[in-house]
Amino acid sequence: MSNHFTYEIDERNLKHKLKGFELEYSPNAWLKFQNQGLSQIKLKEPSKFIKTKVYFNKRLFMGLIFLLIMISISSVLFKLINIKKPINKTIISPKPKEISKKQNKKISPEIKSKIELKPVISKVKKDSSIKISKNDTINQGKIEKEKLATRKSRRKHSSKKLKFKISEANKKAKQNNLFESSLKIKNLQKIQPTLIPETKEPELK
Amino acid sequence: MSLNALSDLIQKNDKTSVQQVFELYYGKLAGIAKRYAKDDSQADHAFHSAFEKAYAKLYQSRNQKNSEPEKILIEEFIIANVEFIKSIRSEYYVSSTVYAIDKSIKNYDLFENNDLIDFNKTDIETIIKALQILVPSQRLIFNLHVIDGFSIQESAFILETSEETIKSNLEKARFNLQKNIEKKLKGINI
Repeated sequence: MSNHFTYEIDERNLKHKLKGFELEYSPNAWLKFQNQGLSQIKLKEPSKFIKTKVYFNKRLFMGLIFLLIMISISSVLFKLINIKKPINKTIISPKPKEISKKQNKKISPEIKSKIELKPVISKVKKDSSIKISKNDTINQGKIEKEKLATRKSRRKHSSKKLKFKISEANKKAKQNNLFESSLKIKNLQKIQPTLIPETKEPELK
Repeated sequence: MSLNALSDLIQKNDKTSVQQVFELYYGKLAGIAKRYAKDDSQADHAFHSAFEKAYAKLYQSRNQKNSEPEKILIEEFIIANVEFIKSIRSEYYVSSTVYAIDKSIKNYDLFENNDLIDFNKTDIETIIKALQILVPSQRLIFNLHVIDGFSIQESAFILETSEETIKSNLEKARFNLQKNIEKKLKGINI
């Protein structure tokens, strides 16, 4: 458009003219319409349900779609990449299962014997001398050996006790001797000041 | 025709009632269709499709209270007309960007045919011819905003474009319409 352009049309007048513009009706127009248009007229009943018209703003709609895409992409990235520092995972051992009575019955006899045998052996050692009957001929050899071993051990214990007593007596005697000697030294110290120093070191002539 | 008579015709919903409505509003609606179309044949096609749609809308809104059937019919007819012309995409989108007039026709002689033109005294036929020459986008906005009284926002909504585009097209339409009328009156073939 040039800068010298001046709009000279009176739009009010133009509007008035064109608003009043009408074509004359002719029966041919109706026939034409009947052939072309009327067959296509579908007189629809308005639906009983309330119609809701939602108008979307193009820009808003596109913006929403863009936001959704961005959120979905970022969520996928967050899932793939760990920003947080890796935590040392402590392996928690599962609690040992409590064995029920029924299960306990199922434990193999070997394990049971291992568990139960230990206290039994100690009891046997203690009471072996008492509970063994004289009629037991099968294990007599073993019993005698055990008896000998117990005697030897007793002897050893007794000899050890004697040696210990002797050593203690000796120690006491030594201590007594030391005490006596210390007393003598003390007495000597008392005597020393009475001596004349001249006598201590006689003059050499 | 009174509003009650028209609403009674619509309520009947038969061939005779459609014919009566057609006969009553043919002149007005055909005039509108001629303004919006590029020629008479396109105006005929636009009229048929637009009348169908407008009548269907009128029939749907027959039970609405406080509705003006005549106003509804004309408004719906205009909107349907715009939709029909917009649907011819090969014309609407191409011709709006390409200037169709041949440059060789331009006359640079300032002293030739420099008579003053009174635009207010131009006859309606030349105005309609000048309007029909306009490219569809300019023709539609000029008709909608200047003649039929739709606001810029309303016409932007109907034409599905931005208000800026509407304004620029309106300016171009005004300029081109005046030029077309001038040429028509001076007897220059466009």
